[in-house]
Amino acid sequence: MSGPRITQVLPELVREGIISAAQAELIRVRYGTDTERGGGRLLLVFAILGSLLVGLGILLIIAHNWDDLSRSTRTVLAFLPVLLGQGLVLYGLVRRPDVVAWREGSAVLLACGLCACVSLIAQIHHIGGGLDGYLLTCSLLILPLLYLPGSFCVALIYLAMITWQAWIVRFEHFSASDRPWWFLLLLLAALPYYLRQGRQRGTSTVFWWLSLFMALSVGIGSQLFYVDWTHAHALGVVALAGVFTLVPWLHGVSGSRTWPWVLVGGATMLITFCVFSFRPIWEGMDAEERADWPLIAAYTAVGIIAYLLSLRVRRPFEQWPYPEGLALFLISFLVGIFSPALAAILVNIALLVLGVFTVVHGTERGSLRRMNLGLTILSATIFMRFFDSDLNFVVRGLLFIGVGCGFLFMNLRMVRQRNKQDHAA
Amino acid sequence: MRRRAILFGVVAVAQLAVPAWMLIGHERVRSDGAVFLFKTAPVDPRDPFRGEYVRLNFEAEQGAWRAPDAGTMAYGQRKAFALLDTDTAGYARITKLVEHAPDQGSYLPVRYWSIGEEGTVSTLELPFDRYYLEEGDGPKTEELLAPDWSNGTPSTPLPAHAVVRILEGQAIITDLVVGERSIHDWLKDPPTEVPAAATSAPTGS
Repeated sequence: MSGPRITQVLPELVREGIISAAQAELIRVRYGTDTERGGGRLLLVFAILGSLLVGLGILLIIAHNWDDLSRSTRTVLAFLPVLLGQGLVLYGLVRRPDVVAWREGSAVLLACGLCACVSLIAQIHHIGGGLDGYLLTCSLLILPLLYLPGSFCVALIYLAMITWQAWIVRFEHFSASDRPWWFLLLLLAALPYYLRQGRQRGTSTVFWWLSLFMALSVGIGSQLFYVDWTHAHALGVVALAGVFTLVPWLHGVSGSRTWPWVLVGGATMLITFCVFSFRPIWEGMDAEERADWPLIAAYTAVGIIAYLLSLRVRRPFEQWPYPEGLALFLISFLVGIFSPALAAILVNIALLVLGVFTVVHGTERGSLRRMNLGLTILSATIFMRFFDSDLNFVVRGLLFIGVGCGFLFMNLRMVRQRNKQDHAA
Repeated sequence: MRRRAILFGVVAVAQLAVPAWMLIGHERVRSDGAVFLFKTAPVDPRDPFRGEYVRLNFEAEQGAWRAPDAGTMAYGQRKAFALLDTDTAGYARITKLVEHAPDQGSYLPVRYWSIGEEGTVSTLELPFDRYYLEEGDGPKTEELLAPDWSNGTPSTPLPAHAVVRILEGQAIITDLVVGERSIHDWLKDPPTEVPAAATSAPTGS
């Protein structure tokens, strides 16, 4: 059972004369969280969830398209949710500036109201155009809410919307030759908000989610500017994935929760390595399409420069081995031009290197999660070879048993180590 | 705090101004625009945010026009302005594609993707393509306009056209007319069975 929070017992301590009111205030400032000041975490969750449900409800009701209502009635209705949302945001700004629940709830409601308003006007006048145009208009309209009142929930919605818009422009347009240039501008517009949140609330859960959405948005968006997809494009993917895994080293703010960048970058890198561990992939290597080479070269250059910069604060293979993945993939790619078989072997070796280093880091730091991730990389590399090799069932069975025993042994060993350390403490 | 409130006031006005501007612009076209009838055949899709609509494929989008940028054969999205006129039956037709918006006459901005070997455009895209309907009315409209196979031989569906107001290159669809009746009248007073012999129905007005 957990005891009361320090901020909850402060009035009692002041009453009993143990601390002064000024000291209590100092402690409250030091230990009281933003959400606590705003009326509690639960209130915040319900405010966001409630506003989101009401906002989505308005959108759905409007999507019904009430033919019986006159054009002027529908026009008035289109602006009602916007005015309601704006009123609530203004009230929150003036009367409840420190209450996070007010800020988030009213901003989400206003964002949904704006989307509903654009929908209704499109319905009234039968305005054509695809979903990308609609998402672009809505993104531009909700962008100011990132700064005034400064809502992280709207920021998540905004990042999701601009990425979706970019995806549609690239893949669902008839010509498929369009590039999502708006995405770059819209992403740049959100960057000051993200950096400010990193400085002010870098250690909060809110920033963890923001980092995840930002990493996914930048990761997906960066890959939508190619003309075509060939083997060489994997270089660009791996280079940027390597940069992502270096973000905690590059931003220089200690304790900031930028782990999602590593998560997205590491997962992308491992998936790419797994795909390229198959020999037939290298055999179909096509270097005919050269239109994207400047972009691929730019991404690779960014990857190399970021890696070189990180060497000032990080030793090679320190913490996690993924930043080194770019060098390993680059070597495999150059070899693959001349010998597909050798390139596939090199990628397999690279996967084993990544796996071994992850296991070593996991055991050194006593992290079961990281050690098991390393073991999973190693065993996945072995199992993937079942598909392109002619091993008989007995050998396959023995490999399964071996890998299973390895997992059990390593986990038991770490649990025992932990128990010993606990007893010693 | 006062400064933030004032700043938000400016943002709020801008947020209201964008949809209001869209609305005013379209209202102007609706009241002052020239009326054109575009022959069409609707199909029924949905939009996750904006609801149900019928997608309109217009006859006027097919033809043979000299491309303003004839000579550049590369495949890709191109833009031009289509000059409009009406045929003897009263339907809209595109007479010419030009590079710049004309000072007089009705015109529309259009898009096209390929130019034939003779420098001609055979398919283009008009700037309006959908007509929103109340939830559930999309499939009914599509059914109304589909050929009837009930007696073994397909009947020709009722002729349909969109009534479009056009002003300074902006266009608004004001009604969808099926066999001389607005689609809204059809939906309020649906036929007991889809008229089978509608081939001779007069088209548009």
